[in-house]
Amino acid sequence: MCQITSQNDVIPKEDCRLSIGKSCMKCQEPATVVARLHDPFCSNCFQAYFTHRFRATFGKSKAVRNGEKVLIAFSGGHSSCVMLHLVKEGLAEGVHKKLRYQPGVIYVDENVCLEQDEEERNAQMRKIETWLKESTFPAYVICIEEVMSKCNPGYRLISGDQSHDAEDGHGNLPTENAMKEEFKQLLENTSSLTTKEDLIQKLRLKLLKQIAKQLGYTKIMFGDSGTRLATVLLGNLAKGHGETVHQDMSFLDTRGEEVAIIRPMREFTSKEIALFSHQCCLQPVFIPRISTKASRLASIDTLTEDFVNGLQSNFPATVTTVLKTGAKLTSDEETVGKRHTCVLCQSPVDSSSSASSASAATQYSMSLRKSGTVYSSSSSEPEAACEVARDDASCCGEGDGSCQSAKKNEELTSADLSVVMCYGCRVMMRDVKSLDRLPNSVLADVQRQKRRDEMRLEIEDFLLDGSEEG
Amino acid sequence: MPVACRMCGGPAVLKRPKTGDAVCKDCFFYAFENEVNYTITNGNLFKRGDRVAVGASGGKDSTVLAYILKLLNERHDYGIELILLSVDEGITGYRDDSLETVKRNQHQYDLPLKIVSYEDLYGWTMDAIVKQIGLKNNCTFCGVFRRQALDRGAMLLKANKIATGHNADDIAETVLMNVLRGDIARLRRCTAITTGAEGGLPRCKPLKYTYEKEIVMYAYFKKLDYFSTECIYSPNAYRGHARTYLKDLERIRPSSIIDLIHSGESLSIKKDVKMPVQGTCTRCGYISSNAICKACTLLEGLNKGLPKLAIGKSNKSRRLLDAASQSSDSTNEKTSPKEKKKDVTF
Repeated sequence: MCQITSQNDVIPKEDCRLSIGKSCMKCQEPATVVARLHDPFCSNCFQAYFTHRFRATFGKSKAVRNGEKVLIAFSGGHSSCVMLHLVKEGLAEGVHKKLRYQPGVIYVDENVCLEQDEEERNAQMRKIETWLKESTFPAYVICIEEVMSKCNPGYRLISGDQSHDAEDGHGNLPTENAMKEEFKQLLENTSSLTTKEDLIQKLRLKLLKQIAKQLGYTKIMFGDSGTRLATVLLGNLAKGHGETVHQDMSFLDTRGEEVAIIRPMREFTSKEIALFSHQCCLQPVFIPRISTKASRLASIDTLTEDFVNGLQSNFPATVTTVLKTGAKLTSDEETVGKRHTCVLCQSPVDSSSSASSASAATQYSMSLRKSGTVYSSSSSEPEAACEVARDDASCCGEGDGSCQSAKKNEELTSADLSVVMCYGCRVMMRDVKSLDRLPNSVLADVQRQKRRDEMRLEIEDFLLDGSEEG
Repeated sequence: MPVACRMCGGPAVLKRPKTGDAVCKDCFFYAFENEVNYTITNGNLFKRGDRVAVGASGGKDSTVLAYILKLLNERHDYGIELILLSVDEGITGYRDDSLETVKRNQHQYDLPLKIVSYEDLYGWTMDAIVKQIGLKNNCTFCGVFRRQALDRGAMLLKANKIATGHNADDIAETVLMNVLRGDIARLRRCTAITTGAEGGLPRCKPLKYTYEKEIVMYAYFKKLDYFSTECIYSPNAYRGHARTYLKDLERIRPSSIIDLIHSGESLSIKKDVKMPVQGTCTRCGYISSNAICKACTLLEGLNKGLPKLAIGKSNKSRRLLDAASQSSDSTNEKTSPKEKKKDVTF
């Protein structure tokens, strides 16, 4: 099959010598960069190639319609700076084949996740706002803690269209501070960095979708590079999100009803993006994240990133191979419409149909915890096993009954979780001490799902086969 | 103060790698054995009257597998017949030592043992192959040959099933490897608990959901006799990366291994993706994606003195081999007895 293991021809040894003194493969000018594996380009041709590839990504998929409102998620990093730059260029007057969508740009402020120096933070925000203003698109800033909001999340309009101004923020500081506190509490009650990162990522996405819907955008554009997406794919496999990895890395991700996600930077490796950013003299803004300066073994994400980058430098086909593998995957189409969607990641909730599966095996292991050293066969009934396992999943792991919070509050028990969350998110929730600290919108979704299930149960006898209303 | 066993409340002696629970020795045995039984019964791995060849290398996985299958067969009355089956790759200083362990196991567990050797089946020992090809890529030969060797051995034993000691870590690692190598066909197959029903004998992996660490723990506390030396030819750099990554994942979140298997199990392949069609080898009749199977191609390369050819893409090497066979008849003659032998066996 693949030659990675067997041949060293993937990386020619004379690679370094190859590229020096080469001329551009397009125009024969002296080359300044090597794109892809070993294609020398001069800087003009490289930029042309890069821009063409970016636009071709849209062209190929035909996912974005004329005049559609697209919200660009801007983080300040290399990739999103390049993306914003390319969209701006593409919309400039006189460009051949002008882009035809209406962009807006949004920055999610995650300062609440880390205690940052006020001055440092203000400097960062100034840089971000400069980027937003210079984009000339309608620009918004939203704080991640708004995801805790009971009503529509508030945002700050930086520039552009004033028509939504009425919704601008809650206007009162106490609510904001309360949400900040709630968000901090949620993170503090989360025991691992892996889960913290995942929670932030999932809630950020939820918030962005909410706000996009509120502002009338139908697509959100993310600047994830191919390298990043390969990392996400492997990381998600390791977190048990196997069924939806193809959507995590595809150009168009249609999970969730109203707002879809597009990822136009997926064709580029992080190296190419950095080269382009450097050549165009873009000034990305460094924003520390919760995992900044963390060690390799701090979380699954940091480890996977290290793993992919390490492989990529030795085997330059790694990222493309992983992405191509991912592109060949899909969800189990037969059942996907009949299953609930996860309240956190909007993936289909895994059906536990097969008796011989990893999840059944895990549940069985959990059920053994309580049964003691009696060689009986009764405990092997899968039903019993499931019940026990669910009970246990709600436990904070203390094992001493100190974790009654989820049960006291009748809002959300972990038995509900297995119905409303996918396997991967359930794994994640083991690290979250009390589930009722989750945002109201998530809890409301859980309740809605529960009620609909009860309704369905009531009318079940009268539903004909093939009815797919979940 | 000793920690209390999560299951019975007695003094705990270990922390289960899989669940993180502190348990006592007896509860660990109980959980471990019941989990394997659960896997076997829920996966319908065996039927009453099956003759099961247990792949035995002398290593920890297969030693524990042989031990626990015998134990569970008696305890839960599966009604199956167990036979140990070992493959002698012909690696001096490694396999000859581990085979001694298997021979001891044969007496300890009172199970019949059959050893098939690469030398008998293919006319080549791994030592001879490594002399030809060097330390790089030799694992390709060993892996491809062993797959067939197990089947052939099992058929000689008139077994109708093969059980191998692949553990959860192995499966998770294979899922990763197949994603990294873009091997979509294997990615789909690799998490199945029973494979190869069409073509060869069905193979099953009763330890599929058992953590490697727990297997070591079980062997340690049961004082099982096993052989734990790395193969002297083994360093497979790329797989090593995946393995390290997996071990690190386990350190960060112990459930990662089972989560990865779950991911692997829930992957579906798009309908429009071209998959290799599994057929049978026109020479030896073994299951193969090409007209001539990898083992036959590799063997032909070896016999013609062009061992490196067959390492890469099969089709390409096929052409080159055919070209080589036309040009040099003398080498062909020399090797023909071995070829014949192979045809007879299968």
